[in-house]
Amino acid sequence: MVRLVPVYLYLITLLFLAGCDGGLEPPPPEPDPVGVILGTVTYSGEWPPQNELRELLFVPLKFYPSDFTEVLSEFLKGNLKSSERLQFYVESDTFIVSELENGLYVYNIIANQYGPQPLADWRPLGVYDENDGLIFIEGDTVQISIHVDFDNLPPFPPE
Amino acid sequence: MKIFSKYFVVLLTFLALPSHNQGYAQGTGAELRGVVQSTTGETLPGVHLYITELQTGTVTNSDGGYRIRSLPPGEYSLRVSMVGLQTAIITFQLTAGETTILDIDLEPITMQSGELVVTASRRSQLIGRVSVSMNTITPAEIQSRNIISLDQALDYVPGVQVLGNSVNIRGSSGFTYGVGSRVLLLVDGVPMMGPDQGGMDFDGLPLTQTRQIEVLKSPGSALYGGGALGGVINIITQDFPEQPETTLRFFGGVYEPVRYDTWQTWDGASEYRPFRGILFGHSQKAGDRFGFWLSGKLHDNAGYLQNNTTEGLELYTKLGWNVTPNIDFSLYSSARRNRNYQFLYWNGLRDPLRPGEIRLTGDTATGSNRGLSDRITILPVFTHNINPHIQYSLKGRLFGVAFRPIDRQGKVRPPDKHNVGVRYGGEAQINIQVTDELILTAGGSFDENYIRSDVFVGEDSLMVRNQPEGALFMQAEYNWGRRLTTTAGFRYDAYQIHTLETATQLSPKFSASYAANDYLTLRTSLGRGFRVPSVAERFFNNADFFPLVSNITLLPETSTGYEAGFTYMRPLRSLFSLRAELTGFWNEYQRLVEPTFQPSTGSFQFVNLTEARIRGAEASVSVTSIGQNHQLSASYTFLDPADLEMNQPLVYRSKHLLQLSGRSFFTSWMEAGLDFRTASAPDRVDTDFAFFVSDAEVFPAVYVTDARMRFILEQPESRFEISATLMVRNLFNYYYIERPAIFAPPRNFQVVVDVKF
Repeated sequence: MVRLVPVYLYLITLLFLAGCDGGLEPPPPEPDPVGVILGTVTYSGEWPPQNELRELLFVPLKFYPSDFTEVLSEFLKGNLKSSERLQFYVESDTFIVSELENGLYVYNIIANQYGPQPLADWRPLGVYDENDGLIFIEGDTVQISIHVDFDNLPPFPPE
Repeated sequence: MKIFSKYFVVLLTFLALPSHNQGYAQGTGAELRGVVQSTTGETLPGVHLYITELQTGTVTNSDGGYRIRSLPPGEYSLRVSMVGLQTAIITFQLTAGETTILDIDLEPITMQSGELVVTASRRSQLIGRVSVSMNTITPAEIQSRNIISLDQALDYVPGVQVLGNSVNIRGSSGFTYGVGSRVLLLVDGVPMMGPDQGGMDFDGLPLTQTRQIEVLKSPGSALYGGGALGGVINIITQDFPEQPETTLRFFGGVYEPVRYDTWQTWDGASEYRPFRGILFGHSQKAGDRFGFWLSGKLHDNAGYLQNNTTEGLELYTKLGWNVTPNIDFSLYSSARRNRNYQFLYWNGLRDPLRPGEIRLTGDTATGSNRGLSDRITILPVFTHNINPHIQYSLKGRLFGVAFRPIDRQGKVRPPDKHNVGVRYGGEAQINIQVTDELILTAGGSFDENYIRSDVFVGEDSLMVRNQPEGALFMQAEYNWGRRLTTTAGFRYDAYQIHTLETATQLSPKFSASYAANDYLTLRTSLGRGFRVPSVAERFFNNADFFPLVSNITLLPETSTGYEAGFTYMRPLRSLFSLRAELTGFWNEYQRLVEPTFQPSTGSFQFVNLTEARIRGAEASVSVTSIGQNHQLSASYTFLDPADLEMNQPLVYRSKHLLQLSGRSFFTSWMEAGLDFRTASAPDRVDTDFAFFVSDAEVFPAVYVTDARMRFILEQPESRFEISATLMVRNLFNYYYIERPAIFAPPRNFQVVVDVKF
């Protein structure tokens, strides 16, 4: 009988090793779901000359900037997402901005760097002005359209 | 039909045969007769008796009886032998014109070889000699592990997996919420499958009055009909003891709260959840010719999941009447009522202890239901031994179920929401020992299922369903000397599947066992199986709990199974007995019925899916000390379940199953036991289920260990025994699931007190 004790201890150890990883567990918290903007931009009027087209992007913002330094500050902190560079001298183009954190994006613009000053020479060419902005709650995907009228550019800072 | 006619003529021919010894003249010759039984009191059929000096002998009949007539007077030696039992040589005296009665007890060679089973061939056989794979669960195991329902008993049978309320023997079944079982449940050989779902009820079994649970793992359809495609579970109830016997068992315990705070999303989740119950039984003889037993269970369980409480009362009786020395009548009956919540699926792995919801168009299905469930069973059996060589029995059965749903206010819903099902029928069977070597078993059965339910409406909008079925069966067993036994038989089933359509199937069966020596028995079997879809599979049409639509065109499924293996039993150094088994099996299924998602309806439906093949091997070894104080056993099953049309694994089948058990009496008053079972994660699960239920595709491997310690106080003089058992189930608190989207029990502790007098 005493001889069986080591056998039982061995068995218990084996079984403990087999069962010790605990099995099911709560899944790790999901990262906050991220949103996606699928957009179309159309152009009318006469395009500016080539030297004023240093950069052309779609940029969604959660705030109304008073000047473009605030926008670039967010960009440098890594809090800003933008589209890839848009094409010049076309009638329309499409863009995607992904991995947008949830929240209300109130100021969504086609932004153009028109001069050599990277901090100062920016202007909006077109603004998405429907529905009071874009809202992302659970990583939604939204489709928007923006029109740029080179003959009637929006005011900046926004009114 | 021609084949059937041929067999019927053969059957009539055998019925007309005179018993083979009846033609002998009595004269002045002497007669020797008696009964051979094991030392545990079971009569032994097929034992060879040989009078050395006279070079004559016989073989015992199905009741263990024998008779040799017209013997010259004198003193002789009788050699009594059977493979697996110790040969006895007995000297006896014969006197002219007189009958000498010689009853003989035989000792098993090893502790494990004297075990008798009845399921394999519908008559008693030594387990080591049967030609198919079988396991037994003894009352000692039921008591020691405080088994209170059948699923708990099956957890430690090699090759058997319980997925919620579905029993899966060697991969025969996936997961179907217990609907359309491919394993047949019998009580004393009488089918006990639900008339509606065709599933088995894990409660409602007289466990304190169970002599043995036998699990037949080979396709047994030739003898047992439709539901036995994947195997048979037979509950053998007790006979009546010479001395009155009373048993009381009290148990109580708690489930440990889960260790993750994020799962404690309802009030009860952070508490120890209790369960308790009492089992009782009394059996006795009343005079020489009557006997009875009575048993029951009263239990309630708070459940470790939200909306998972159960409470119930079960009562069982068996009455026996020995009408004449050759005629017996018994009546088994049971009644049970349960008031249960049924937890159907979780709210995802982030919230597994609460039922989920499925949002369907315009409606919401809920992951739990509540209801009153009633069942009654009445099984009368009449047995007549016409002579020592011919016996017949007539069995009736009535099995009724009723389910009454309870609404959120706790009130029983209106009668049009109640489900009622009745299965009634009968069976006649005759056993004929045609010669010393040949035993014939033949019979027929008829059953009718009647179901009325608002969820079995189907496409034809009827609420009442009938599904009659009938069968004829016949089997011939021939002993080719002491070592080789062959069995051949068939079963002819007919099921009415529509008003004007009947499905029929001829299922032949062949098996053989060969005792190579006293220790080694080789066996092989092959047979066809057949299962008609249950009423639920064909007509269930409801979205209260899950979107499921009917399929009235569902066809029967069939199988062809082959099996070969050996059993090796021998003593080891006079201290231990060894039992080892190795079996290879190969089963092919046609028109397998599986629940499948139908994108066109956005619902699940039972459909004839595919051709499938399940092959594999099973090995088991068990070592028991001679005094039965210590036992170690291990079993391993390998399965290769393949969908041959899609060339991928069948869903919800584990490839590897391993079970380890050990128990020891460390002193005469203390026993300890440890059980471990593991099943690998299925290679494939039904990912469509996860469209509706979050994380329903999660199905990890299972590693569960149960431990127990039992303390016994026995007073042999007064036949009084009391024992207390401390048990921990799921000792290492491993979190797993036992069916898709249902969290299996966490670690739970219980105390069991048994009193016998």
